[in-house]
Amino acid sequence: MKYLFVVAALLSGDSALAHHSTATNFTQEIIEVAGTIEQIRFQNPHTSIVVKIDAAEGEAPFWLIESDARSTFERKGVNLDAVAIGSKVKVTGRKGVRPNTMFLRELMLEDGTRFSSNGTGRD
Amino acid sequence: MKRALLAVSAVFITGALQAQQSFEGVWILDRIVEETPAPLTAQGMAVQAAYDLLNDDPSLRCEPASLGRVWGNPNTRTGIHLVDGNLQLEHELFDVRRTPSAEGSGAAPTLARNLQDTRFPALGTQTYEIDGEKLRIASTGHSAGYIRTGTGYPQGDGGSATETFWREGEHLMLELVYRDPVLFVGDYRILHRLAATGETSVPVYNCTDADYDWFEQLNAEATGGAKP
Repeated sequence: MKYLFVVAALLSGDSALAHHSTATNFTQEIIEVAGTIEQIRFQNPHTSIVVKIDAAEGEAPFWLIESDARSTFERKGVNLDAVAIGSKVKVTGRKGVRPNTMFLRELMLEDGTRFSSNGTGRD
Repeated sequence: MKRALLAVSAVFITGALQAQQSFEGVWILDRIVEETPAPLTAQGMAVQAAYDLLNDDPSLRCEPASLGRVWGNPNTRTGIHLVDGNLQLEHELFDVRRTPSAEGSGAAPTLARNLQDTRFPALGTQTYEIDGEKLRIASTGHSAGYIRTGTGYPQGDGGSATETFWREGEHLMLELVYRDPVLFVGDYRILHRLAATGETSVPVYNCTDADYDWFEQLNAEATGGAKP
């Protein structure tokens, strides 16, 4: 199979008790951002992915994509260290309260590899 | 006389073994079964209203806000063990370690700490007792802050908390009750159900501060100083 489907089960992404509350830090609005991966912080208590977009003059080019803890990913067999810096990606997720932030719903690489909260991503 | 002493000893030993078997192990939150809304006083509501979740959450500094915060975290383990008769709790979240003193032992109460020996006064000082099948941990002297970092339920420095553990089948139940005469008009109660993981140890968490400064700095540099 050409495509690798990776389920990054965001088991409790909406928990009001999560590290910094996902329910209150992120809206229900789903947005999409396309760009290249600038940085990945695969760590506890939150994984952070920075995506750089083609920004207009004066527009902030970096987006912070937040997700669950490294330990949560690893228990699902997902290792984000395998994702290369500079990869082109499309990311969807819940728009953050802070500017240019999002909570990960799905990240798709150019080759079709998906990191999804529901595991149903397919090209 | 000798036989009577042996019989009494056997009863105590059996009781101790049963108590150990009932709550020892590595556990993970299965679900929060029940939670009463925090019965806030006017002062409690004022503290809650002033809560700024983007700045006031100590989790951003890898510090536990409260006992409720530690127990309510999904996907992290807690080990509960009796080691040489002393209770030890190892929370995976923020690598919190607790060693409550036995009730009536006279031992000086100690603060919870992490693996780097950073103390966490928000969790107070603690004593424990084993009452039949139940383990009870009482804590006082919590530093003022927030019990719930999502809702901003406040924690006062004059309150107390009781964690009571008991088995229900394969699950370990935990009732956490906060009392605070200044901030609450009644008990604030959270009932947790924990599941055994079958593991014997708790992984190291290695928390990294989750502040946003580094990210905002990226955009500030890219746009000549303006934050997004």
